[in-house]
Amino acid sequence: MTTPIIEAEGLVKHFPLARSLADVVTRKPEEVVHAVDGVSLAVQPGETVGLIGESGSGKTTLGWLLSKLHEPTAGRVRFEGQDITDLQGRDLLQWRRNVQIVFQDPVGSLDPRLRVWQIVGEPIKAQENAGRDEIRRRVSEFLPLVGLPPGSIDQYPHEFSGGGRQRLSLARALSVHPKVLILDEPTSALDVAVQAQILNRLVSLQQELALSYLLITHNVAAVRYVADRVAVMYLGLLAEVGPVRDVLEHPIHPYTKALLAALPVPDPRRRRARYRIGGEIPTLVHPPVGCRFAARCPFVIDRCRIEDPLLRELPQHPGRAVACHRAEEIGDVPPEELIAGLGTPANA
Amino acid sequence: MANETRSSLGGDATAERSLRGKVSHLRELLRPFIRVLRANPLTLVGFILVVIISVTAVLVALVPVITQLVLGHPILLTPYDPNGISTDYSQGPSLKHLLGTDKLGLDIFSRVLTALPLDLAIGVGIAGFALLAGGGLGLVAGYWDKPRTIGGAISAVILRVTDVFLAFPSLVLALAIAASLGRGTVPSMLAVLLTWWPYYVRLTRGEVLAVKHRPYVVAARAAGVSEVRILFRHVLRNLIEPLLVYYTLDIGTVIITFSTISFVGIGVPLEVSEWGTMVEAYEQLLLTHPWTVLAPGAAIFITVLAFSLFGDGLRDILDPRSRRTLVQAVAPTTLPGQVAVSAEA
Amino acid sequence: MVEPVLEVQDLSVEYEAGTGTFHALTGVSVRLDPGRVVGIVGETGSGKSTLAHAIPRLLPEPPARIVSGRIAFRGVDVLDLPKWKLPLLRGTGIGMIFQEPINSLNPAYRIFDQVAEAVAVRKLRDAGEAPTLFPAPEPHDYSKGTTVKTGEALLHPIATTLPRRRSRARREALMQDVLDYLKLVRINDPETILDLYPHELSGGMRQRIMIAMALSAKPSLLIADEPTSALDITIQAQVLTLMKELMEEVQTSILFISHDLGIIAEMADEVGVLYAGHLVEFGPVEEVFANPRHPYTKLLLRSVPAQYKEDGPLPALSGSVPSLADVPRGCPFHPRCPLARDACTRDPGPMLEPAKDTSVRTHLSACYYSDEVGRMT
Repeated sequence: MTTPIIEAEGLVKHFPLARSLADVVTRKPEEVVHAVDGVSLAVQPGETVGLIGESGSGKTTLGWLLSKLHEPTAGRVRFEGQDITDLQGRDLLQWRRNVQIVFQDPVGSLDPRLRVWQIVGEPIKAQENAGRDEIRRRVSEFLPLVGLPPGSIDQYPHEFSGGGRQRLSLARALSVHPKVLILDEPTSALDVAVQAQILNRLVSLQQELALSYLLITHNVAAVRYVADRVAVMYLGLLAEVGPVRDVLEHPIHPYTKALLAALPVPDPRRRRARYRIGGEIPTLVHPPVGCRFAARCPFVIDRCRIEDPLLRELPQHPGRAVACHRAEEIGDVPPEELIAGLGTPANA
Repeated sequence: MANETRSSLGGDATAERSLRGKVSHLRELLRPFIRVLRANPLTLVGFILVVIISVTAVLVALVPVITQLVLGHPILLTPYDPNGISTDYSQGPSLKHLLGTDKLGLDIFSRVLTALPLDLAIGVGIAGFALLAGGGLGLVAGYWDKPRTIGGAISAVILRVTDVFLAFPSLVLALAIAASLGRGTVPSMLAVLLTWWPYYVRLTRGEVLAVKHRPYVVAARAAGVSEVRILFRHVLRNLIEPLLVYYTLDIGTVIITFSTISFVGIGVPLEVSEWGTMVEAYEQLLLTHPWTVLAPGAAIFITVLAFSLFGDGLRDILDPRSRRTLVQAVAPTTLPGQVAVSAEA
Repeated sequence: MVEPVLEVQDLSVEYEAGTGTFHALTGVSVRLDPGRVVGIVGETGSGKSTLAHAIPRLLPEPPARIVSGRIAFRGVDVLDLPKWKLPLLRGTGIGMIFQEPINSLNPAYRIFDQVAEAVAVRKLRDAGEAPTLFPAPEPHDYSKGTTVKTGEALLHPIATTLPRRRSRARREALMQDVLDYLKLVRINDPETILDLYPHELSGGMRQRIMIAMALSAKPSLLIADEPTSALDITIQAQVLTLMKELMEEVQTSILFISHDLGIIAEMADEVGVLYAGHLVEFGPVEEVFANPRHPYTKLLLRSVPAQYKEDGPLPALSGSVPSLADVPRGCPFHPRCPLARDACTRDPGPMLEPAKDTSVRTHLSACYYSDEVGRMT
């Protein structure tokens, strides 16, 4: 068992809600959003871990915690076995070259007033304090790696298409040769055809540059194509973790099944009847006692509403962990059942 | 020996190359400027007027001073001494007196010209001070406003004080301060300045707040850029454009406010040529000798218009994105599968 | 023979911008029969949004310009209508659902007020108290295959049986309908949300309210422009299920626009593929997906990761979508097409015209070499 290149250990992140003066005066207890509520996840060197979930799952927050853009409320972050949770100041700035993040908004993540070489070269400048000519040279050598013409170093971000801008973000992240790349919804703002190009590029870069990826997305198909392992998050906790083909073809956790059943398939012969998982995704200010999916779960039993299911390994499925009390019984129920009428009618 | 020659040749060549490079770099920077001017005739008009006004102001103000120092006696650029009483009373505009004369025979055109540097300096200067002071405070209030820190406390104080000032209509406040300070150029300038800085606080703070959380700032932080560098490189750089545009448009407003103070009777002493005092002095003559009032009024109007037109176009000049076509702002488009970014804290 | 609800013939739309002319749509023809769902699939820059907005004349007319073509809604020529009649066309004639409900719902008004406004429009028109283009208050009865009546505008002075100002009386008069429509979109306990503002609701709820508002006007045609793209996956599935059920209950025809091939496969009976403003393929959805007859459609279907089961790189399309200001001459896809030959650089390919005889379901392609598409690797 190798040392994971980056690892979350019981990470917790709570965001305080704004309080009005009235709240302070009346001593109302402070409320927090439980964005991430105790997640342990490891990425092995050279591996791609997909992190899937919907809004409110905490997947983006987890990514930011691992790249140290947020301070955890509790828990530790390890890089190459070392605890880096308390890294500060100069040490933190220098450590940053190891883990880079590509953001989901290709428009907002590039400063519109800077040229390509300034944007892509910014990490180089920050980490190595190289001179202008050196940066320009390195950037122009780097751009073909992401599929951009080297001559575009003097252009502005708005002169590129969405796919081009995403490549720029990627180039910027890679310019200091990081070991880990955290990709936050890299394909969501892109067209289908461009998504395929970017995904292919990510795969080839991983082999060329010996990178490890954490791919955060709600695009399950992309995860299936790119990832080795996948983790499913719901409301701040991990629901299921395991090898990607196993989890996506034989999901055990009811939420994973619900998610997979919800995906529209581009094949008209396989149309779905009524999708039967109702309910909204709540924001987590007051986490319920017991399992967080209990309110919407078609397999719920009394125990689910009282006792928190812990993420546990299943002996008959090596390498997989599921957070469900009924994992053994319902493991074999295929996602299609959730469409054909098993389960609760839709709630508002 | 050969090495030296080669290197010296190389040295010259690189110097020459870099000069050419600098020239083309400059041309590259000026290109959006020229393009916008060509596309918007109004902006071009504004720009030309601003240049004419500024150059004239500088010449009118400096030539007498320089000639005084160099030649011993000042040479005025104005056709007549603005304070020179003559016998040509109350004449209408003519070839001799371009804008006519007033009751005392003072040449209106000379008076208007002499007032130009003062009014322009007031506009540029007061708005400039307000920009620096208000902008600085706004930057602090926007950037270091985390609650329950010292920065947060300071921000709160700045904002509340600003709110108090903003509660008064600017003109009324300026008049009140000027009246209490008494007549005079400096007190009235002070009055306008005290009234003006709060607007810049609000403006700057708003822009800083908008930029502070933009993904590219976070990306810079993730790249390991120090906070100071982020402040200068990203935040300030993106602040300049809206502030500069607002400032340019503001110059006109300051001039009007200042002239109004003078018009009301507070403000600069009567001997000093200033458009506002001129309008006040000749107010009664509007129906009998209109040129006396209309000339300074027109001067105010043209100056403010020039800066307004130019300032409007300045936005397009400064924003590199203005090169993108307008169609994309107008045509309905939908983006594929955009996940609501704000969903996660 | 049933008259189509919507007939678009040879529509071309351009945008004038300082830097050039954008050919958003070129010669697009679509036909929608009553009770059917036609899906339009295309990427960004394909012109699909322009099509969605052109039909109810929602395009800003400068800088947009409808260069040629004809749009007929229930027999009425939309392009010929004077400006003042356009509001009559919308709402009760053509309804629209947009992508981001937070943008389409007015943040300053409570839910009740917004839904009530839509209901009020329909009530006034039904009662003959407001002008309408189609004086047919009964729901359309497609089962009998009757021709849908068309008509000229009724010009009645607007009477006041419905209390005009916001008052308790008005609220009571509209309340039952509002509740009914909210229940129709499967919102349980709609009373609880009536007094909330849009930002206090989730995305899924907002989209249901948008659908409720659109349906309360009982339109003959509903245009849905990426209605679920901004929603989470499980919520999206709920909303799509809802829309499918409503289609059966309410009998509205839908023009469904999306970039997501999966959603189109779920919802549409027939599908049209847009590329760079051109309609390149049209046909029944099962056939188009199973046997695409245009190279773009085939390559697009193959590049979707959802279907990809093998190893090795995804068969991605090379190059990128051309700018609408710079559409290639001839067939717009030829620079990226593996089947391209000389002729493709000159001729745009056969025009797609929906068949006159609606009993025949045709599968049309704008490619001269459509027979070879099946053998493409």
